Amino acid sequence: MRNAFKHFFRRHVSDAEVRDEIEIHIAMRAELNRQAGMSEDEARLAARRQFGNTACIREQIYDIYNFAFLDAIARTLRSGVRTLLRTPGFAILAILILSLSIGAAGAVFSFVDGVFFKPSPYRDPSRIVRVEERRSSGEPNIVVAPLNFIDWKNENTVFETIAARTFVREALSSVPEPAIILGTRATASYFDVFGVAPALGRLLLPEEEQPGKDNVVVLSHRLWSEQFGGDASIIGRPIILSEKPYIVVGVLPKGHPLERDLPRFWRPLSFNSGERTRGFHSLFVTARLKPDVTLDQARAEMEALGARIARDNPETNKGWGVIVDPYVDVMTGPHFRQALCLWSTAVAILLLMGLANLANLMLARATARNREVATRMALGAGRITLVGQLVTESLLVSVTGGLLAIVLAYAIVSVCRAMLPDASLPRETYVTIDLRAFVFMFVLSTITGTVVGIATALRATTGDLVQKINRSGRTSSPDSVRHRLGTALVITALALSFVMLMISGLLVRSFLQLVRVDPGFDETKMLTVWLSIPQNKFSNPEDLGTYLDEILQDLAGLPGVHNAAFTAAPPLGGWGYGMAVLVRGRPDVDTASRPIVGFKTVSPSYFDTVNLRMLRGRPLSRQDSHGSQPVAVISSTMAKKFFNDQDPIGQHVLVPELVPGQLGVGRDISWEIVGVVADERVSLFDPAEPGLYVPIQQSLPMYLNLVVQTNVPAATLEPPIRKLIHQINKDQALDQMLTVDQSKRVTLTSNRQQISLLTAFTCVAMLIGAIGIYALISFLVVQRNGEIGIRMALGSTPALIIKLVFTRVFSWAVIGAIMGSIATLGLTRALQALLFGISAHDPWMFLLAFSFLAIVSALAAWLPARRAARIDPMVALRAD
Amino acid sequence: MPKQPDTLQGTLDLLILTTLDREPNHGFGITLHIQTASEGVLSVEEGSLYPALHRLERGKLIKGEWNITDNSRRARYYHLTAAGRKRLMEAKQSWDVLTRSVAKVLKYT
Repeated sequence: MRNAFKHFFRRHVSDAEVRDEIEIHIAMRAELNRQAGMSEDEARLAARRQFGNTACIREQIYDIYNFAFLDAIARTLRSGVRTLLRTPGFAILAILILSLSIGAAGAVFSFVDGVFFKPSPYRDPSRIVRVEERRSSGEPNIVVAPLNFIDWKNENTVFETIAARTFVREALSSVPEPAIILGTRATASYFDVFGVAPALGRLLLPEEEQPGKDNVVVLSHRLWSEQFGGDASIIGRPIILSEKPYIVVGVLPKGHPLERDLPRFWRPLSFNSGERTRGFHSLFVTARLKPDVTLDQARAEMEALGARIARDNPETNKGWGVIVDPYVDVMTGPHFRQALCLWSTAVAILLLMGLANLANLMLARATARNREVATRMALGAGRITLVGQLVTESLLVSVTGGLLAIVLAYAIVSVCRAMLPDASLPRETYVTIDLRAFVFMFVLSTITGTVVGIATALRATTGDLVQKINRSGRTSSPDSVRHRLGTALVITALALSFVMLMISGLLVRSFLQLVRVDPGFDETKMLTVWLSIPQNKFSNPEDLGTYLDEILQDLAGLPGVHNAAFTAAPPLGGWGYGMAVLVRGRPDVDTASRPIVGFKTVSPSYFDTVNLRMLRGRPLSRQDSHGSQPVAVISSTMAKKFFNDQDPIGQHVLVPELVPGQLGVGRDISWEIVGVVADERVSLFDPAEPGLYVPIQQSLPMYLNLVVQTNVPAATLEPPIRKLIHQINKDQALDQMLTVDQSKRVTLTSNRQQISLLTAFTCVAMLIGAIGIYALISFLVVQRNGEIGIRMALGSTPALIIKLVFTRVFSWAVIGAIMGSIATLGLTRALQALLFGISAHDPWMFLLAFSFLAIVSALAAWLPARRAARIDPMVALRAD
Repeated sequence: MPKQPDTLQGTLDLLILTTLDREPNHGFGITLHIQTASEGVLSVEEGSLYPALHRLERGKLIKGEWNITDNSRRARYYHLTAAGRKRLMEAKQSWDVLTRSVAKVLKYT
């Protein structure tokens, strides 16, 4: 039984057993010999002789049980490790280069993979589409007018379900930490499109999509845990949003992609009569295709439907169409693609540099070992064996490098994930170093090792042996072909570093330009805060006007406050609204074809508060109240664009009425232009746009921001301002106060992060380039030991030797920079799209990049150059 | 189809398998048997016997186990496995074919 077990588990007969067996055989033969009359010794010897070489036979049997080639591989591996350890410097450099370049590649791979290739977390994601309007100009209009959406919903036959949503900001007040939070108003079908099931309670119902029944809310898991302590009994109880109660009916599941979205709650989307319009575009529409409907069929039907709507409603829809696009494509839009393209380029450059440098190192090493290899070949080592050995060595390096790369990539991704806010990536993506990234990096490093190994091994093992044995080491002129190849590789690396330097340098400069955008006032002394204005409380514009005036008057008395104003959109925060306008008296065109301009409702003090100079006419005044003649001040650009050299003062523009709290606009209002004001910087990125300013009392906006210009550090004023407002109205919900400087930082967060990452990558690129230079110069110095010795012996000084080395390195840097410049110029078009306020041809940038390259090259060459200068001529000439 | 072993090798394998078909035996016993049975004509080279035995064992045609001999020595005894018995049948047949064919050729003159 035990025997059976032993045999079951043991596949091999051990060498000791075989030896026993053979010895017993010989003993038996000897016994027979003795019986035949031989002496003891004679019998044993004869038996042994007859058997033959036992060691040889044992080896044969050993080979039967053990694959001979496995053994050979183990031997090669052992000797590979030994050889590598003999020159640890080489091994460390090679592994470093590989792990840096492949690690970076792996990290970016997981981003690209996470964004573009990972299956979306939704059920059947390929059937989800985004439906948009198309303006008569052909441009897409992402937001859809409610009536158009309703027509789409009722008349289409291609969608299983179609959903709309819009965003709201509400003051959440029934909790320990009242806050202003972003939410969504969505149709019940929104959850069907994305296939969400509630973690608790239920989701929204279609019958709740009507005024009066829409006072229910679904909470995000995050809001539920942060503000309600994850209390399950919240279901069925009301919460207060902007002073109105909503019954909580459900909670979303934890970790669902919707959770990564900014909105924290979902309310039913209902339309009151004023919102049933085609003139106010506010809805984001997504839909799920029926299983048997293709994208093209859906496009065709929706296009026909759009044409039908345009025909029946020419006033608002003439020339407008419908766009149907796969949701995934929309989510990973052109901006995102551009960024990832940039990343992929950067990484491809890093990889190429890594490979070039690894090849360089291996080549340099192979040359240094030329004689060893040649001698071994002369002594009969098979070429296959030698190539195998050299390839094994490079594989050892690359696999170790690959493993390190995985660690590095993991670190990079963790850091990036910690740095990037959730909302900066499409919510569907989940970036992680997973099996795919592992495989990617491992395959990459293994292929690298094999290719580079085989290439160098083939070089090392071809050619004239005798010449190699005689030449290497002793002779003063190095193998010129190898030398040229090595130099070419280093120059390539330098050129690629130069490109990276240019790209990241330009982006940094462009970023600094953005930071320096001058809005015309001191950003650190401009405080802004978003206020929730409950519509039910101030339905009368006069009451609201009085309330806002009271706040402004009290603020004026607060020490440190220089000026204060209300506005629909804070400085650098856009216009607030874009409206279709028509100059009265000019040929009438339907709303659908009117030009869109910025439309900002402000209190009269706004221009003074943000330092906007009046160019013509008068500013807005407190006398321009509800009921009096509607007046507007237009921006300088609008005056130029719409009135050319005529005087705009006294002219009228027609703009539809804004109805607060409603997703719709009213009838046209005729605004009399009373003044022209200097252009305001409404956005960091865009140049001046046409726009008009109207008084708050004459057009109530949906959102209001308080802007306070201070003459003391703004942060110190937050508590007194808060207190002052709450003294006037204790229920006034206030968002966090931010200086314009702070909001700008938030706006630029993703730019900043992208730039830090790119800078890090550039550093890695420079490091790889530097290692390449260091390695090549080191090997050249070792190679030309003899030559340098002779020079020294003939009276050259260490300074001259160092100069020799530096001249050479400098010429590499120059050639590298020239090649890099050419490559950068080739990238100009792609680059310019990413740049703001700086040309991709900026000469200073070229100079800066070159200086940097030269300095790093010089640093990399310094150590080996000094070593060269210290060579003792006698030792150098005798060595070898 | 089992792999067709080359003839010389195959011959030794055939001899070993036939010997073990009678009764389990150790290496030396196999040598003696082949010598005796062939009336001294065939003498197995001991240097090739053991590699052949282990090749067969690795091929699972025979199986070796340590056992005690008649004169109370330890020895590794080999016996045929089922696969070995099958292979022996096939080898015998092809041997018959081979010898008959060779004989025919020799007679044909």
